[in-house]
Amino acid sequence: MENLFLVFIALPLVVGGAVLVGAWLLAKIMPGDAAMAKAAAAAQAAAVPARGPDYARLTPRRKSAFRTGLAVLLGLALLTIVEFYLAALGSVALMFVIIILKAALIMVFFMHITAVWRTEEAH
Amino acid sequence: MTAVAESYQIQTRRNRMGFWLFFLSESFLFGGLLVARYYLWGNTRPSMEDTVIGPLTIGYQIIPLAITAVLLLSSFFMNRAEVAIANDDRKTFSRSILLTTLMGLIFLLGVLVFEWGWKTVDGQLVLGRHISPTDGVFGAVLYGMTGMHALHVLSGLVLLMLVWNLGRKGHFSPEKHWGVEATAIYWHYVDLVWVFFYPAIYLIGVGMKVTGH
Repeated sequence: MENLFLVFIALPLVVGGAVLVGAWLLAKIMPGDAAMAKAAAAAQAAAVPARGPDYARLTPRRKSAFRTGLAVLLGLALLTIVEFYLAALGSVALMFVIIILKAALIMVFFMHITAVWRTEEAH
Repeated sequence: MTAVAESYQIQTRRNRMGFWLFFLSESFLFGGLLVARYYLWGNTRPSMEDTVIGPLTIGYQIIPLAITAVLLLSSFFMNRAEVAIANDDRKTFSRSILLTTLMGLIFLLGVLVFEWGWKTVDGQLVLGRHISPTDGVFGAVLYGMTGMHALHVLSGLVLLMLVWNLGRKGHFSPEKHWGVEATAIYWHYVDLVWVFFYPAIYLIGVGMKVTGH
């Protein structure tokens, strides 16, 4: 019983608390000079709108990017399932192929590795 | 294009290059752990006990698969957040960051609670319900790999909360959101590392019963 309390209640609280305290401390350290902090407070007081002025203009681009993200997620999920069943067959070589494919999907579509060599901002 | 915007783009390109060099150095760390796994475990891996929660028994390979799915899903939401802020959709950005954080927390707790497991010995809570860090090469490598990865997840969660807080205050715009982009790349890197770690720990090799605890 004591174990259950520690594992399911105390530990999540400690880890969650550590994350929040860490974030709060970093937020306190990072804003920089007083003017910046004041500007941030003013911005917060003004309440940031849910959508910016460029929202409508950027809508087609946003939809296309969301669709790409969803397609990549489905691809990763499918490859993970295949990988799981390949393990039962003991096909290590094929599993490595799948690992490389998954890594490539993440690096190209999520991490935008090609942006490192891009000269203009098209992200 | 104004000079300020141009200089921001130049700075962002430099930041991006620096960040990828940082990942290169990180890959040596994680690569070393992978080499240790393949060298020390060879074509074997630790076979763990099933997890029993009340009347429910969950196969030991199901929980790693489930937390892997959660991490992949968190990457999708992180990508969604990045796309949203780049396209001036602040509400979706904020929600997606919070969902990513929640999923990251679930992943972290999945590793700490279910994979590492805890047990009481003489009234004291100790690590390793399935396997302990002192269980030879299996324990040492398993805890080394999952521990180092969990540490990166934890730092990613701190970054996510920071970015969410800054976004809430209106610090990011479609033109200037390097902070979001960097956090997203970092989070995807954590996911990328797990793509290599998950099969190495749980799928590749013949399951061996761990003795000695």
